[in-house]
Amino acid sequence: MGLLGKILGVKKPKRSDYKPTESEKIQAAVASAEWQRWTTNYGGILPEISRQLQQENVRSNLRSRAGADVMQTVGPISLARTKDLGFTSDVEQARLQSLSQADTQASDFQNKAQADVLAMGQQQKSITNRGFSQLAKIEQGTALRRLADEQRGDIARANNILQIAKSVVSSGQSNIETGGSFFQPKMLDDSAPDGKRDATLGESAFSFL
Amino acid sequence: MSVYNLPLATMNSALANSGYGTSALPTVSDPDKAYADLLQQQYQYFQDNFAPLERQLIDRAMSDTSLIDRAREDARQNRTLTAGVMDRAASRYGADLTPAERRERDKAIARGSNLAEVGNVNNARIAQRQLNMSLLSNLANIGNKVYGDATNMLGTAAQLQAARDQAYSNAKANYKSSIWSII
Repeated sequence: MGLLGKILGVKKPKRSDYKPTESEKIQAAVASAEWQRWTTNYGGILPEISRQLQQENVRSNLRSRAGADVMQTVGPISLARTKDLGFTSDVEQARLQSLSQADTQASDFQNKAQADVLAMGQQQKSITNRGFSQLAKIEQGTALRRLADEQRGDIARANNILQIAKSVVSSGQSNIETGGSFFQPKMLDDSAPDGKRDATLGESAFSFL
Repeated sequence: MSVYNLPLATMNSALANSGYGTSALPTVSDPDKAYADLLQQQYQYFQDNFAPLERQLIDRAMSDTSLIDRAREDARQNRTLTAGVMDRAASRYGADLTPAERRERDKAIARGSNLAEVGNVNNARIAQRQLNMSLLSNLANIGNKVYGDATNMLGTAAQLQAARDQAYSNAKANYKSSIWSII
């Protein structure tokens, strides 16, 4: 194939002619470096926030502060107040309400913060998913173009073989028509007198074979 | 100035100045494979770091009763706690309650505690429902994006399948017409 290409002046494609350009190499290298930078500097941030939110005891902090705040608001408990039943009941209710509020706020904070972390993680995954789609399209495009190229090549080869075969058959038929064999025509000797020409076998049209 | 606006000749020096000297840059011999590897790593990163959190939040939003449970528990504990606070305060003054006073006080605390428990648990029920609904709503927003992604990806997969079928069909037609034209 290579020799035929040379004879016909068609250059055989070389892998080295299709190497990436300098700008392509830089683009890919910068992309890779950016990815590494993201992994090193940012990749750990969301999981760390998530871990801290799991471990951080927001509820306990808020509750202890709420309990202390109630007692501070109530102020010092005088001797009279220790015997004041209404006061005792009020303190109890205030403590319960503030603890409940602390619980609600802690849960609200934790829920929202964790949902935010998950949403950011999901955004990253969304970008990844788009990448998967893009990659699948690229790969499929390459595969289908390769198949189409192969088919074009096969058909061109078959076409050429058939053209050669047609030429062979046509030449063979011409040879037979001269009275020769399929592979060799019968030639007339022009030097012999008219009517006494000896037929000689000419050079085979297939001598190149 | 962005490196992307520079001509190629000056790109290397611009990269070097920006801390991306070509010597420091990694070599990517197969960008296609590098891209595929990166995407797989990234998907795994999500699975490892966020999938358990996702499951945990969904479970919590669907079944969390911690506020209500804690409100009940607090009411029970608070009864003893308040009595203790009052006892300690009284003992600081060197005063002591008579058994009758103590009985009355304990009754008052129990009454207050029961009332507070009812109110508090009811409030906690409402707060719990609001919190769970709010979390569910946040999760639903995230879920919408998951749904959108899944739909888009399946759409792409379907397009690719259709393109492959079309290419196959074209190739068959091309084959037939070529064979006939050769003959």
